[in-house]
Amino acid sequence: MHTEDYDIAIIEQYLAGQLEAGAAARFEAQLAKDDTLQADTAQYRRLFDGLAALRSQAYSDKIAGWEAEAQLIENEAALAPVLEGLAALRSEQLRDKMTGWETVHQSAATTEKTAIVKTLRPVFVRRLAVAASILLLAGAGLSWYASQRYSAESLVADYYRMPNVGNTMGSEQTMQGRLGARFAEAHRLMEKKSYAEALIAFGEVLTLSRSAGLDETRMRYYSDQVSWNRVLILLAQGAAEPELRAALDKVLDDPKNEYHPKAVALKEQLDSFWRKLVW
Amino acid sequence: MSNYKEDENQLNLLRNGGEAVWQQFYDKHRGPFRAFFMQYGRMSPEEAAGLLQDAMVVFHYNATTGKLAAPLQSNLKTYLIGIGKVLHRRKGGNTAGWDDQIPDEPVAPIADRIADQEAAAKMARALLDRIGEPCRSLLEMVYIKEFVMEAVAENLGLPSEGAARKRKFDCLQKMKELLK
Repeated sequence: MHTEDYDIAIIEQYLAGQLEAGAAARFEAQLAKDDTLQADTAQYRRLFDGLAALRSQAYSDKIAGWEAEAQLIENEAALAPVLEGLAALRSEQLRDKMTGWETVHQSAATTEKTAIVKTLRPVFVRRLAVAASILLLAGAGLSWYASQRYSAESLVADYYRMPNVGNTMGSEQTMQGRLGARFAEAHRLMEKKSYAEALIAFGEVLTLSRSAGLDETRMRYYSDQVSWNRVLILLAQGAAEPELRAALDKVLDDPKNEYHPKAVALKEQLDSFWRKLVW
Repeated sequence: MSNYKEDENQLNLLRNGGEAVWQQFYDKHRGPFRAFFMQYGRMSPEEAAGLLQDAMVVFHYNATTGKLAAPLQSNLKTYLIGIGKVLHRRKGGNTAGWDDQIPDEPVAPIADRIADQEAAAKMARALLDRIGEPCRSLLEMVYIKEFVMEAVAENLGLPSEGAARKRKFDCLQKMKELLK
């Protein structure tokens, strides 16, 4: 090792309190009799203090991320009654649907009875009842079709693809390793449909990608992944329409986004007539 | 025998631990800190969260540089809230009505250093701005972003961890020259 480098390494370890007792004592003995070493040590102390102060300032970005996570968790708790209310409304809608299905069944039964006592009713009334039954059945069928193809669950299943996240074991020492591991975890959570946790994980992916020293292409890859998966998560979570649209618009407004074509297709489906039939 | 052994162990963990340990610490103290300043400082939740972040930066610097070390004079929660109180005062906030809720003594040495910390950060930033590339990126990776040397080498296209370490010392020496 270069002599000067050796000195700096020792000074750094000494200032960080990382020298063993014997080595620290030897260093202090040398320090006591060497004016140049004293001056150098004092200057390096100033440098390392300055760098440590900058590191602590840089932590404020991370802290802001933790705060956002904490608020998200808090909001989830606060939103729980609202979400429960919406779930109850959805169940009420099901009740309406069941009423419709029941009407179809009753109409069918009435038609059978009418067939038995057909001489008692005019032909046009019977035809009207049959037509109404067909309409009701068609309506239920269309609604079923729309739910199969255009429900949030179906759309997310259609649009979500797990990328090749590779092997991320044993590489969390580096910032890029941590980024890779968190990215893989975010997608595993998507696969498990743990959307709230996935949203947090993707947020961390974005933060890590900004400080991992990536080239522009890799930065773009992670940024596109995060913005698109955020759309899918909001869709899966049944987020408020303006929030979902704002996230989708972010992808639509960026033609270079890898998921731009998919965003265009998704928008068409969200705007379509069929989507309105989903219950 | 210290009265704050558990907190000293926690401080040691923070000093040597990674981001996860700090996040855990943040999550643990976020509630009490915000509740304190919302009650006594009449702050909104957002203001209290902002103050917590400022206090955490000061606490982080003191913990990681060994300026806050055993034996502790108080528990870590008191230190953190105490730093918040000092920062609140520095911004012109009035603590007269609730000053006795958190004692000043243990936090006083840290409070005295807040201006030094800001000056040190300013000085280091100015030197990094002057030192030029690739030293600036290298030193930021090592000392601010806390990359391991292997990652530094990878990011700077250096052949080995040893080469990155050698470059680090060259850059530190260059930075010291700028200090003169």
